[in-house]
Amino acid sequence: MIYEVSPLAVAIFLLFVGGTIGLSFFLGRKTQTSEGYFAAHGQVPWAVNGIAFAGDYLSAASFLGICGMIAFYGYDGFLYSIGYLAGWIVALFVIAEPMKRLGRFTFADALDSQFDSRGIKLAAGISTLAVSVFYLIPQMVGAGALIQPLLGLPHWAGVVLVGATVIVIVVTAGMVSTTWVQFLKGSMLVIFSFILSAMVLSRGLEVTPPGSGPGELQTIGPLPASEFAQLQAFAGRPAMRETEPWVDSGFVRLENPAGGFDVFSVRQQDDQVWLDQAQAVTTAADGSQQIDGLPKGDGEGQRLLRPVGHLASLPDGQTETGPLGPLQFFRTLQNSEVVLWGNRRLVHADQTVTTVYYQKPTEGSRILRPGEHPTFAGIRSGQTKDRIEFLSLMLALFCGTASLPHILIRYYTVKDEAAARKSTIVGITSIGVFYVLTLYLGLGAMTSGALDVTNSNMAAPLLARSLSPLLFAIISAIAFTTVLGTVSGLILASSGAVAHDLISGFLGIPLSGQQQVRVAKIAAVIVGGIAILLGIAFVEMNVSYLVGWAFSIAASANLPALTMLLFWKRTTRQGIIASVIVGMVSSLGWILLSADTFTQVYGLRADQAWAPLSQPGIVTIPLAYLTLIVVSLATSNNRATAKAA
Amino acid sequence: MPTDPSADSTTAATARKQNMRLGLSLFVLYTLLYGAFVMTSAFYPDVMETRPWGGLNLALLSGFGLILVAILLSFIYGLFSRVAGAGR
Repeated sequence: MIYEVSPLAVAIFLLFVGGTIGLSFFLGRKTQTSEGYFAAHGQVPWAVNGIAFAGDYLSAASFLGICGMIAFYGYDGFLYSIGYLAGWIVALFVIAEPMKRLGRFTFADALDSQFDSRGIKLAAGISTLAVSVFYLIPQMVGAGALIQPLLGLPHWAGVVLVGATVIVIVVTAGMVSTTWVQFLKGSMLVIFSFILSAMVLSRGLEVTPPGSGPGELQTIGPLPASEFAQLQAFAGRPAMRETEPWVDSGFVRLENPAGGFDVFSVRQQDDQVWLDQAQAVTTAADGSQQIDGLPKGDGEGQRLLRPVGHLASLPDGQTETGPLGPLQFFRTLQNSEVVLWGNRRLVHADQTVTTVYYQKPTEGSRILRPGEHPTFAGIRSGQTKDRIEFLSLMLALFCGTASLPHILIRYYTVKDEAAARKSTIVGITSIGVFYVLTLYLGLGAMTSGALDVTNSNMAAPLLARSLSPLLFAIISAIAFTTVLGTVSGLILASSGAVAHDLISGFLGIPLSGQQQVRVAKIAAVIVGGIAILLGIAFVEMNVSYLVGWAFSIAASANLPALTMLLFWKRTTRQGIIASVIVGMVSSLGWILLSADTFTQVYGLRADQAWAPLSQPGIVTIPLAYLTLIVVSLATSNNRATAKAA
Repeated sequence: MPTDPSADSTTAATARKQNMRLGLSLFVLYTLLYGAFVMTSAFYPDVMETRPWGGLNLALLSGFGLILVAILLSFIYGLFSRVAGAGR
């Protein structure tokens, strides 16, 4: 059984939630003013702010999404780690100190610092909302993915629980409580990821022969290839008479005496054939599921998915390595054979869909190179378009970090520019250490024998479960807190955009400090509600993948305006407004018309998509820069030239 | 420590300018390294499989290298940048 409700995990999780809510109510008394609510009075110590940066930034996408992608595809997930961290270089060297100097509560404050323009407030406020909502979706999906193993509740319950808790945290004490929740989360995430990685290295690697290990997956063979097509039984078990869509599917089903069937993928090498056990998940139109032909469940006459993730061989015929050093771990894996999992979709005449998850024995050297994940496989296709797709994503990751409103507003919580700089350095160090550890966590999960083939987001907690029940409880609770910390920051940024930028700034409705805080709290409840609904709707998408979209929108809408304001003296108010709008609309529109959205969201075919690439950054980021330059030059006679920061 | 507010402001402006120059230099350096990594991965993915040191492939070495260099450059910036102003 992959999932089992752990009372210890429930207790630790409730302790976390209770603690954070209690802390929020305690701190709430200090945040009646807008300075307190939006910026924690600018009194957060730089070291605390630095760790809070890590807590804000290391979202469900980093912890669950990246580890999951590495566990299922290897090095490709690590590309996200590299890109996400590189983005902090832009934040530290270009943005940090001017941001602290120019702004007060929101991202729009900094953009508007030299113009006092309602148009900039409107454009930047909407951009903040758009980026934050896109970023919220994967966080909420991550929350839902965690709730099942932790509390045994359905996905939607996790989303609602996290949404409600975060709304309480933000509404009670705004940036003050958000900062401390993020500080606690950031510290615990880095510390326990380190412990988990050390345990992965201490456990070492071992080969799991067929029929053993937690999943007890069988392999039948070798069989002579010339006779294979005529065989009616394998290892004494009769093969099922195949109907569509199983005919010529590359799978063989054998009757299971306990009911249902066992499905095997066919693997041919030279003139010999092996049958490797696969797993079939059949989903009916009403949403009910069968596993290998029996209803999903752990009762009699029911079946659950088997845990997976094992090594087929180690170098020099070893069966286990014992403890490994940090570099030796990679050297050993590089020369081993790992069993990854692929999947194929079979559609029945009644529109019932069966997804068959099958074993893919893969050389370790392939796992530790870029190009195994479908998103990155294009770099080996030789097609220029696929390579541009890759460049576009890596550009968006590089430019996106310093454009995320919920990260930028953290610069307002420290007292001066020196503190902003120091806190960024602390943030980069802790985030960098964490990203190094993601490769150990992901590869450890890949070989843990604990993975759920249907849910890559659960790789890190399931790795912890394979090591120790206590660690599983703690890691699950930390993962939940991870979601709480990031979602708090996003909802706070959104509520600031509504109250400060749109209502007070753009509409010009005069609000006292206390009124602005009240409006921000109402906005936090509404944005939280929207996040809950979206988190339920996007249940099946990999969280790291979704975050890539948020980065593209942020990088296109926000970074060109912010950097040009700092470094180009001829930047005008109109140029900034046009750049933000063009960057936001073009990247958002592009994503909605891309092949990935067509297949994964609309359920249409990829060739029906309108956008030539799935990742828009390589076009939309330069487009936003170009727009700013052209519009600024065209309007330079109508306004006073802005001074460079 | 200067007591004259205008002297204080001039010192802060000079410090900001120096920090910006240092920051931009380090930014350009890192961008070149990151760009080289991305372009090699995109156009010469097989090069990433070569094992230049310690039995580890270039993909691992350059990936870890980029993370460690980012941390190192941030420390260098912290060490050599000047204090600019007491804030708002």
